[in-house]
Parts: sequence; structure tokens; C-alpha cells
Amino acid sequence: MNDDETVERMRALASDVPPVRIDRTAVLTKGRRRRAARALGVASGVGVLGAVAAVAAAAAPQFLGPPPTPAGTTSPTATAMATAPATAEPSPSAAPPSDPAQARAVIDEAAGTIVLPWDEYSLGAEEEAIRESAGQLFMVNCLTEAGFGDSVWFHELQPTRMVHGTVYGIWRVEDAERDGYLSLDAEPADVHIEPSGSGSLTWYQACDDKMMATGMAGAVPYVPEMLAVVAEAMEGGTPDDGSWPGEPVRAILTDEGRAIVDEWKQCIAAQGVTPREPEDNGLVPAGAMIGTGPGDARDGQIAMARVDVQCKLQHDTVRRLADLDARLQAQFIADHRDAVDVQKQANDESLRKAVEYLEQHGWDVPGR
Amino acid sequence: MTVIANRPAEPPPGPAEADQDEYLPVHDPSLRGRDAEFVAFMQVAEPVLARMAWLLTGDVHRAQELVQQALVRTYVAWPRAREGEPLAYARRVLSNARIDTWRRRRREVLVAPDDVPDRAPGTPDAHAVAHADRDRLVRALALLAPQRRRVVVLRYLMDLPEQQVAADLGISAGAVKSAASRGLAQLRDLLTETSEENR
Repeated sequence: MNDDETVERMRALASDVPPVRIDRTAVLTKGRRRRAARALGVASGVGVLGAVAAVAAAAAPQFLGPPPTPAGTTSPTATAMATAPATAEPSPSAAPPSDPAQARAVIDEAAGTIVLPWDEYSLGAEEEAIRESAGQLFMVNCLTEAGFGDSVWFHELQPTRMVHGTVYGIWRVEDAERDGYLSLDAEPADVHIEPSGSGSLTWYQACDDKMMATGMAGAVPYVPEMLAVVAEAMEGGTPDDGSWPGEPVRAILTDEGRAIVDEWKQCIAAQGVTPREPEDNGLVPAGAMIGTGPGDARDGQIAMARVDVQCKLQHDTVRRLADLDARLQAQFIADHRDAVDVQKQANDESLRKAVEYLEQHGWDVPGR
Repeated sequence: MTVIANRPAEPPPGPAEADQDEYLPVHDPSLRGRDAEFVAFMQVAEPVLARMAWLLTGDVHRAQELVQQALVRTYVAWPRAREGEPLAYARRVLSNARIDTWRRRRREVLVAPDDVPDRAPGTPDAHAVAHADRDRLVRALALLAPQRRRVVVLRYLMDLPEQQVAADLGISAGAVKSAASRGLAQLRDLLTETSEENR
């Protein structure tokens, strides 16, 4: 057989494909859940960068500081990225200031952290990793009981994954020089929850429903107070720009934020680096290998990261965006104080259940 | 026959607490536009995605999972996906899914009861022959390395241009050309072998 004949033969063999039935209702249900999870901070929120997130949050001062940097102000050195000394007394709780317009991000360049007002009220990357682990362990246990133990496993807890980091991308010279974009994410844990065999899909969905009902993983159910906020905001229609009424609007979705991002995009484009299309709207160039990548690609990645960070420094991009996020978040908290307080309690309760489940099944949860 | 020991006869009933309304205001009228649009998209996309997933995995159940995952991700990203080509977006998600567990499941696939036609033993008919043909193809595809299999399926069985395959998989056009050529040569040998065995 020559190539054409081989292709023809393959196509003939592939003409009789068995029916693959898709549960469209399940697709919509899961899609809505995941969208809600993102809206509540799993993947779209801005938050803490770096493995020391919890420590930084515990020591975070109030979000008060010098007036926001005017748009267009440049910062020629990495030193300028560091947070100006806070004028208020440090507080163990990251409460927003009484005047939302005065809110500022707390950027600790040495630690590599950015702390924002909403972090106090949402589940951060570390907490999400714990909840994800609990949910996956539940699924493995449930599927094992159902007889699928030969194709599912849970060997370790999920690491804290820096999904929030993709919002601002990398912003420290040392990170860029050391490992390009690898620090923005971690390899997922060795966990497998996709059972194989007859009936596996039905059982997966049944276990998934049971897991969701525990309230310790997946999207945290909206409390009625927050539902009211969402419903009120959606009277005018569902926002189609990626924002969600149950959380503060993100800086990069506002005109002011887009203008800041555009400056950065133009800067890197001028140096031959292509901006990434708005995949989660992160400030990361196209082709950046986030959290993964073979070693031989490192040199190219570092060169790209160097341009990326230098442009952010030149335009003070991260400071300006983070401060804008801080103001937007502080305003949202002030506007919906009761709802966010009750939602925080629900988030905390969900996390408590997740930690308890893991510990009951013999897993030590670091820092808990 | 696939037998998994100790499995109860039926899945557990869904707990009352799992009612979807508890998680989202799913009955909000403003959500219907997006959902209706997406359901229409699913009707168009499902046959294409299902065929692709089955060729990549050789397993109906795994194909169901992959298509469902791809559709869920497309739903979440719908505002962005619909701006471009939503089918291409879903296909890219599917193209990059994990498909390297096929071999471990191969024995189950070949004898899964759902796929066995309802007929008396020893009486091959057109249906059985078609089954044997497609089984021969997925056996051969399964012997390719995952990335090479992706390239072959996308390039030759989904009939996508090289540049499109390269874009979907995030690799160079040269890498597509190379993988396609080697994959095709490997498949030619494999299909020739199985044809001779069946004589």
C-alpha cells in the first residue's frame, strides 16, 4: 500500500464509529458549576502569589498606603515594585480601609506576594488545593466502593497551584531569570479519578453528586445573601465579559485596567514578544510554558520572561493593576458587607469540612 | 467480558442535597440565552467530537468522558470561544486531553458487552464485519505513541490541514509532517499485518 491507499484504507475502517452518547444536561450542569467556582475565586480571582501566601496574609497590614500611582507613571527598577511602607498599624486581619478609594494592594516583593482585600473573603490557592484534595479523595473512595478501585487512585495531596498568578503573570526579575514561567504553577498531584469500564460514567456522576452534596469541594454554594446580590446584578442580563456578579469586578475587565494592560502589550510586542490572547485574561505572553516545560525550552522562556517583566516594571503595570483591583474589591466589600461576611463563613465551613475529611482518612494537612 | 467485582447492581440514588438549584440560580431567565445557544452548538459539535474521541481512545466510555469534559470547558469559556470558532476551541481541548491510558483498557474494549452484536456464535454478518474492521483500526492506532496518534487522527481521519493540526496541538508544522509520515508508515505495516493474519 502506498500512502494514499493507506489513508483510504484507514478512512474506510473508520466509517463505522460506535455511538457516543453525551448527556447534555450534565454538560450544562457541570459547566455552570465550574463557572460559579471560577467566579468564587478558583480560577479567576486575583490573590496571593508564592508558597508563602498564608504567612503573608496573616501578617498583612490594612490596605492603606500612599495615593495610587497615577496612570502612566513609570518605574525603572525592580525596587520600585516594593510596597511603600503602610501608614496604618499592621493588623492580623486583612480588613479593607473605611474609604475604598484609599485601598491599595500590599505587594511584598521579597516574599513574592500580592495581598488584596478580597483575599480575606475568598478561598485562596492554598485553601482551594485542600478542598480539591478532599473532593478527589472522596471520589476515589466512592468509586473504589463501587468497584472501580483498579482504575482510580489518590497518592498525594494537591500542591498549591499558582493559578491566581496567571492574572498578573510573573513580575519579579529574579523569577524571570531563574525559571521563566515555571513558578506560576505546580505539577498536579498523582491522582486519578476517571474510572474505566462499563457503567463508569454513571457511577462517576453519582459519586460526583454525592461529593458536591458534602459541601467540602467543588463550587461553594452561594449563601442566600450572596444569591440576592447576584440576582440583583443579573436583572440587567448576564455579563458576558468574564465577570461574575458574585465577586468584585476584575481590574483587567475595566477600561482603566485594559489601558494599563495595553501599555504592557505594546511594550512586549515592540520587542518581538507576542501577547497572549485573553486566555483567562492573564498578563502572560503567548507561548509561555506555565508550570511545565522541557529543560531545553528554558533559555527561550527566560528571554521571553525577561522582556515581559521589564515591560511591567517600565510601566509599573502590576502595581497599578493591583491597586485598581484593591479599590474595586474594597468597594464591592463595602457595598455588600453582610453578604460577603456570610459567604466567608460558608467558605470557611467548606474548608473546615475538607480538612476534617482528609484528616479522618489519615492525611496530614500542612499548616492546619 | 468486563467484570468488576463487588460492584452493586445500580448506582446510588442522587442525594437530595445535590439539587442543582442549591449551587446556582439555574432558573434565572438571563442564563437561558447562553444555555440555548450552547445546546445548539452541542448538537452540531457532538458527532465531530465523538468521532474524534473514539478514534483517539478506542473506548466508548472514555470517549464519552472526553467529549463531556471538552464541552464543559467550552461552556465555561463560551464568551471567548464563540468569538472565534467554537468547534475548533472544543477540538483543541479534546486534542490535548490525556489519551495514553488506552492500552491498559484495551482488553476491556475488545470484549465490552455493550459492543457485542446480538447474534448467534459463528455466524458473521455485515455488522460483525464492520465491528471487526473498526476494531482493527483502533488496535493499530493504539500502538502509536499518543502524540503521533493525535496527529494521525487529526490529519488523516478528521481531515484537517497540517497548519490546523499544528495549531491544535501547539507544535510546529514540521513536527506534524514528521509525525504524520512516521505514523502513516507504522499504520501501513500494522494494517497489513492484521490483514494477513485474518486471511
